Amino acid sequence: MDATAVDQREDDITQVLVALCVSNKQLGVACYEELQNSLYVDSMNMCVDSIEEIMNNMKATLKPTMFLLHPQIIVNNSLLELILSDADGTPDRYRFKVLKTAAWIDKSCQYLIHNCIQVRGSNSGSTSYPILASVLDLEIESSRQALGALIGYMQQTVFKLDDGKVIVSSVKTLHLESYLKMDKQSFKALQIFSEETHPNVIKGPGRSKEGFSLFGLFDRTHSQSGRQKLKEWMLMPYYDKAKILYRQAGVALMSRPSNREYVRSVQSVLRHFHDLPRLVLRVKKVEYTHLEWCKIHLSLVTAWKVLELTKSFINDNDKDSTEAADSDYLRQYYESVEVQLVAHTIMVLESAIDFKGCDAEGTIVFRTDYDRQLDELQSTYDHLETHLVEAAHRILDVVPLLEVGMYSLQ
Amino acid sequence: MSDSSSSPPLFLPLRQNVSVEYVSQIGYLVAVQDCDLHLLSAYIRPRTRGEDLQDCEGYDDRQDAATAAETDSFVFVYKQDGIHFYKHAVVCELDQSIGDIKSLISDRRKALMLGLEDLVLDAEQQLQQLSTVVSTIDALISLGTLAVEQSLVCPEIADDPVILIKGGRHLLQQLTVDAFIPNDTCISADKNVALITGPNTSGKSVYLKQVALIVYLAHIGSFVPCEKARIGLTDAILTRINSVETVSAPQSAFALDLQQMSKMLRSHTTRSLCVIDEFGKGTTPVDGIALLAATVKHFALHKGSAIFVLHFTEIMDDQILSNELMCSISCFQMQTYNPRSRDRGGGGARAGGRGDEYCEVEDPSDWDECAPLFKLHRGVAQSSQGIACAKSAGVDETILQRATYIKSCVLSHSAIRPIVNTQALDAIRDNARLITLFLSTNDWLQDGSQEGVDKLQEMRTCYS
Repeated sequence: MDATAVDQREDDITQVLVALCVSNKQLGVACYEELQNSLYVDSMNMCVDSIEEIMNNMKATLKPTMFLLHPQIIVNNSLLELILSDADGTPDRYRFKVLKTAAWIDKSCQYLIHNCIQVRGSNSGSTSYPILASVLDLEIESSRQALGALIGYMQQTVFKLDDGKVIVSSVKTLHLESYLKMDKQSFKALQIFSEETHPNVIKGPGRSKEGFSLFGLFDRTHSQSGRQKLKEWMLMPYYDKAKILYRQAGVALMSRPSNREYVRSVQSVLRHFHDLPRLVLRVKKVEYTHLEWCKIHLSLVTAWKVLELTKSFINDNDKDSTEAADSDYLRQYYESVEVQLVAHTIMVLESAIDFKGCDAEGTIVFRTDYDRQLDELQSTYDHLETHLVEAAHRILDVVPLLEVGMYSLQ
Repeated sequence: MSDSSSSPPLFLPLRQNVSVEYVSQIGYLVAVQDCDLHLLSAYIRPRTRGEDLQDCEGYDDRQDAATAAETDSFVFVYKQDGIHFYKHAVVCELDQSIGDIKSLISDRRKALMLGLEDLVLDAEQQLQQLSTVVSTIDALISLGTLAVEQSLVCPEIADDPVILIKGGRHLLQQLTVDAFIPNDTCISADKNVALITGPNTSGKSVYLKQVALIVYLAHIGSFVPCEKARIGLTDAILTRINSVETVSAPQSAFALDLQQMSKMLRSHTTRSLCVIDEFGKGTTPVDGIALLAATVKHFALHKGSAIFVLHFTEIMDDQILSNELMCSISCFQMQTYNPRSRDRGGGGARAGGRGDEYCEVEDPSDWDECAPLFKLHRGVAQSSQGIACAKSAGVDETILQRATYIKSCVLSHSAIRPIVNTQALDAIRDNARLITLFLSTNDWLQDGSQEGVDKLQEMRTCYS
């Protein structure tokens, strides 16, 4: 079979285009299915725990022939691998195309959604916006961007239109996640989250704080990553009985009076635990100062303490058969961590970096005994002035500049 | 050399005239001041490229460096600010033994940092898992702590679409009031629609949100604010509570409401919870009632848990919702305390309606005495007590009286009379009398009779 025939055969396959966009920690998905002439849109929170499940679900549901990707996805290697590999792990199973950043600009995407989609059979006049808005949650930026970029691409390829309307039979919402669906309006109406900014402050990241909301009430976390985890949970309620019951067991464990001592002990150390994945990312990008290393060390030490407390809790409760369920629950978490690796990392960091010295000098300070070569170089540098004075004296010894000596005495 | 090193203080002043310095990329150099140059002149070896380069073009001649290293001569390198820099065997030794010490230290530190970076990056996945575990424990503790503080209970998660809550509370509302009145909820597959009626500010919307929040909290795995709860697994919580107008969307407030309803009606399943607050209020009452009734009917037929808060109690009429539909619908009302209602016979079934009981406060004299009880009971409230609400909001008394009159006319199907202004009416009456007097006598100006004078006097009184 020659190359032309292969191309011809590929053209014959019904196209299923899937545009993926990452924006504000959300993954926007827009899909065009040629056979049904339908558009499907969904968005979901980017969560490490669920992203693989979402991807496999998406591939099984949509059976995509090609992915249209946002440039930001290409940068994220693990995400790209997950998108392009098959459910069984076969890499590079799917074709993909990276669309330029211009194709994903929110305003142009909104324009395309407002003006360039027509749903067949709808009598909504010049714009299909009302019908689209009643089906899709167009308040979510990632959804808008994915749909807009897909429409823009379809105009140029599938429909071969210069500036015309993409006419589809239907627009539907996908349900790729095993989570309870709630739209942005519902979160706002039920006061689950409430972002408050001071009127004098120009809006920007980090300028707002949680107002009077359910999240504000529930947030009794002691660490930044704990807070993020709780927010993640509150953004994505489960639609899975087993998962709900499992989390309920965890909450029951932590609320039991007999476990209060463990809870208090863990809480007392947790405030030193920082956002470890973000710190590791900074190390990866070589965008760190001594502060990042201090935070990594502190977080690891804190995590180590939490693990030690958990271990002793498990050991204590193992003796009591009535509390065995609690220890089993925490054992699963404890055993999912490579404790020895944590200990080793802490040990290496403590032997290498003088963290107190770092605080004092405002830079990364290595311990004196960590590296002999560095110590020697440092010693030479510390005594450099002496070396230079000695050299000057040697010059005066070698060269008869005695007159200079007299001269200097004047 | 040994002498000099053994007694450094004797030679220290010399360093003012002869010193050794490090210059980046050139190395260690002997620095001699301009005024002392003549003392050194005998030892200066000319550059291989000639003396004309004396004025600091830079030092790049390795041959000169080699020469300086082999002999004790000084090879000129450059001159700056009256100081001459030379290479000499001694400083060439420093180049070899010490070199660019700062760069060497920096390079070594970078190499060590690279090792630490590798240590962390090699363990990236394990560190992420560690972070997940610690943050999960933190978040679980957070939920557990609140469960203890707020007396939350573990809900039973059911497979069938039910919402059974005993003594449910709204956690946020509870914080803002002295005493919160808990309420029960009972929605099942058979009775999947709940219609909540009651006066304004009686807590209907709070109840609506309370149910949605308890279902939501149950699905994040948290304990819930109530005495006991059995919550069916829910795939979506769909709301129509707030209308947020924005110039970015080409729609009116009512269109936005409809859009939310349209999305809800399209996407809900038998496992969804839909909460709808006063749908249909943005248009004429007839259209609003029609849309609301049709929506209630849709949910009654197609299942899926739905809670409606409404003021259009007309939809409970036989002609709008059939008895078959009413089998799927539960009617609840928020109670209001009225001390006089007991004297007058109090509640009772609403005429033509199918509620169990109702409470009405319509007499303006009762307004100050009645109070919402925030307690949900079976039945349909006949009135929303909007006028009482207006009074409590400080609306003018005359407006309230007129509103009460219009309402009574509408309810009794009688004609609404225009507002009577007594002052204007008196003026009109006086004018009519004046005209009558004037027209009653044609010749009262001619005969000068007493009768004419009296009439003139009366007219003056009337006019004044």
